[in-house]
Amino acid sequence: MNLHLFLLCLLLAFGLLSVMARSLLLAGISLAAASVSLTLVLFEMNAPWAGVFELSVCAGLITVLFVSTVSVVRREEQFIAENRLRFYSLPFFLAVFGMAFWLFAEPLTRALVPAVPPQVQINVGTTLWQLRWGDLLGQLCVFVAGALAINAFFRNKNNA
Amino acid sequence: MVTSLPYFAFIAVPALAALACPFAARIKPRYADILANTALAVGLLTALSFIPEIAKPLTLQAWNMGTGLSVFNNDVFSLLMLITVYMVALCTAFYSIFHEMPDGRRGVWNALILVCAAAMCGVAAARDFFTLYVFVEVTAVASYALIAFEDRRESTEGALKYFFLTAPASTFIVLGVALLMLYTGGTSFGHLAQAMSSSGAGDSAVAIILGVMACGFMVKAGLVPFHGWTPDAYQSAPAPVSALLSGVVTKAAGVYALIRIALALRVIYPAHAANAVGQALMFFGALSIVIGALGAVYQRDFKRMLAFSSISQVGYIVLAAGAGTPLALAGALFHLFNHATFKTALFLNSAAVEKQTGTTDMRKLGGLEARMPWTALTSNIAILSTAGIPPLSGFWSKLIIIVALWKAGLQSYAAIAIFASVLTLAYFILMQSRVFFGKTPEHLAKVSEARAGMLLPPILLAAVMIAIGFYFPLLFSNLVEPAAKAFL
Amino acid sequence: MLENMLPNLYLNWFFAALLVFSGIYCMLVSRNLLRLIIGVELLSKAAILALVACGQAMGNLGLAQSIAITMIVLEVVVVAVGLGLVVRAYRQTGSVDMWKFDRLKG
Repeated sequence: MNLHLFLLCLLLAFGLLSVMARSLLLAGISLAAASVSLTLVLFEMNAPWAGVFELSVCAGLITVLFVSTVSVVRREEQFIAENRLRFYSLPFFLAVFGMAFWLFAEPLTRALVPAVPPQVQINVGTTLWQLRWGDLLGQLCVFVAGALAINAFFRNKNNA
Repeated sequence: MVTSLPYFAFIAVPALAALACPFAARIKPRYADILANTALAVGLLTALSFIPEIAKPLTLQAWNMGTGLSVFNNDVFSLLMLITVYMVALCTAFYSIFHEMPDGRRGVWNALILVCAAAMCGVAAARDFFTLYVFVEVTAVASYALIAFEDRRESTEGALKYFFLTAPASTFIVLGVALLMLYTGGTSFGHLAQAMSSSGAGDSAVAIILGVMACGFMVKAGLVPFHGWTPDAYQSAPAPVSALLSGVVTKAAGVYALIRIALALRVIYPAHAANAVGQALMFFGALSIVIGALGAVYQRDFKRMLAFSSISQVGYIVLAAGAGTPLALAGALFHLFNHATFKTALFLNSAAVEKQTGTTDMRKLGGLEARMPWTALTSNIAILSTAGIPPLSGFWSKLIIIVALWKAGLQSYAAIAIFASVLTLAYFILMQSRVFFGKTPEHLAKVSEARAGMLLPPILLAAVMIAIGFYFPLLFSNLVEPAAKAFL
Repeated sequence: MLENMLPNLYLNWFFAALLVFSGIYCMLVSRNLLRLIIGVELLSKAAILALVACGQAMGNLGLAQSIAITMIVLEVVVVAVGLGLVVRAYRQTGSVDMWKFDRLKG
């Protein structure tokens, strides 16, 4: 329980850092760290499959993509004059929101938990392949769509 | 006999064709066009051939309670959505044969349209909120690419706005799905219906779950408080894509799910929407009708005006869905189909105008009726249908919606619907007089009519509007009434 | 068993809500398109946390995990396309400042 709380705090801390960091590179790296903490949370919650995916895809792939994009636009992003105070005041607003939400959290969750009969545990593979193959079809479609989209954005220079 | 639709084929065939498209284009760019059009036309004909089989057995359940192994559902609503998707996608693909672009990009363009169509079929086929969300997201990814397809700043801007306003909406949909899973032990429509019919204490829970989800879907549908992205995306997208976006993408991504939610509400609130979510849907629907129509009056750009008109018409659909009586739901579905026909025709005509005159700014247009008679004629039919002039199709669907609202005891909403329909006529007359009627300015004197192929989709759609209008009594007894009964 | 899980559920949902708030705050406050993408990322992290927490509380982690996996796959494609859009915008305008995008007006 305490470990769980600690990991959640770690996740939130890295999330905050990624919003508040002045340098985008640091923000991207702390986003990756947040992903790793989420992975640990998922492992701790007995959800290893989701954890593995989170680690490899979010912490790995997205970080690579993000950091490479940052390196492309790096020269320009410093010219955007942003009011840093707004970012630094996030913890304050977050605290206010957190307190307000805490008041609602318990009755809210209490209202939402019905007496669900204990479910039959089905493992991830069976669920995904036999009950949710529509989602797998969707995943295939999204890969096709993503590949085509990237192609549409970046191949036109060669052909036009 | 209840026939099961071959949804897998409806999704997989366009997706496979999309994979093949870039390779076909490498042999010869025009092969991609042929491939896309063939795939979509075959799909449309197949879907149409299921009408008699689906419509006849009136015992068909509109609400499949089963939670068995089958992934896809099977009802009138899905079939209607499927036909709409294929119809608009085919018009778009056919139109884009004549849309100018570098030859090297035709493959990707057609492939994106096909993927978009496949994903929207997935939305229509889903019987589970999460599967629905997955396909909504695929549709969105394909739409970002289609909007930003041409290398212009405006297009990228429209796509970015679409992206950043709808991405948070996805999160809310997933949070809603998570709550639904927690509360009912599953994510399918059937689980929701079961939970609703059996829940004693669950009123607030159901309102929270559906409210969170409906928020997300309302952003994706472009309803009024969340409509910031709609006009920009429609205006900046390449012309055929605007037709696709307005005709089906926003409907598949948002309105369809909202109607599904309204159907779920019917399980425990049979007579009228006495609950928070139904009232919220009606409120935002009515707000969209009015704000969309008022916004359209002030637009100077042809496409932007059509975009605001779309917001207003989507408002009609959601208002009727929120009212939730069988007649209102049937009216919502009917209007959804009709809106797809007339808005596709109008956007394709705006594309023709843009191509022939080089602008969509209404201050620079005028008197095009003499120069482009067919475009003007089909636009007029579509406009009159949108404004609800008898005997065109739009009249009947609006009539059903208004009568249903009145019967459900929602007189004020019915009055809003009537009032906005007058407003619709007003801004369209404004548009007519600026674009098609009046004297032809000198710089437009040499404008000629668009090519025959570009005129074909609007003419066919106008024919559909007129045919539905005249055969409506027949259709009503054969299709709309059974659909309404199926919702009982 | 269910009752034991409940405190955990509160906690997870509380943190998910905080993450949602941070993400939306980030998207509202910033003008930099890349920061907006960070906001989108935080939102989807919150969604994954909420999904798995709900699955744990109702006792069917298999379902929750399979949904979360699909969600993660979707997220990566959406973010990749979003980054592609940002790079394209940068190439066209030489900037990733959202305020530079003001061509479309009614």
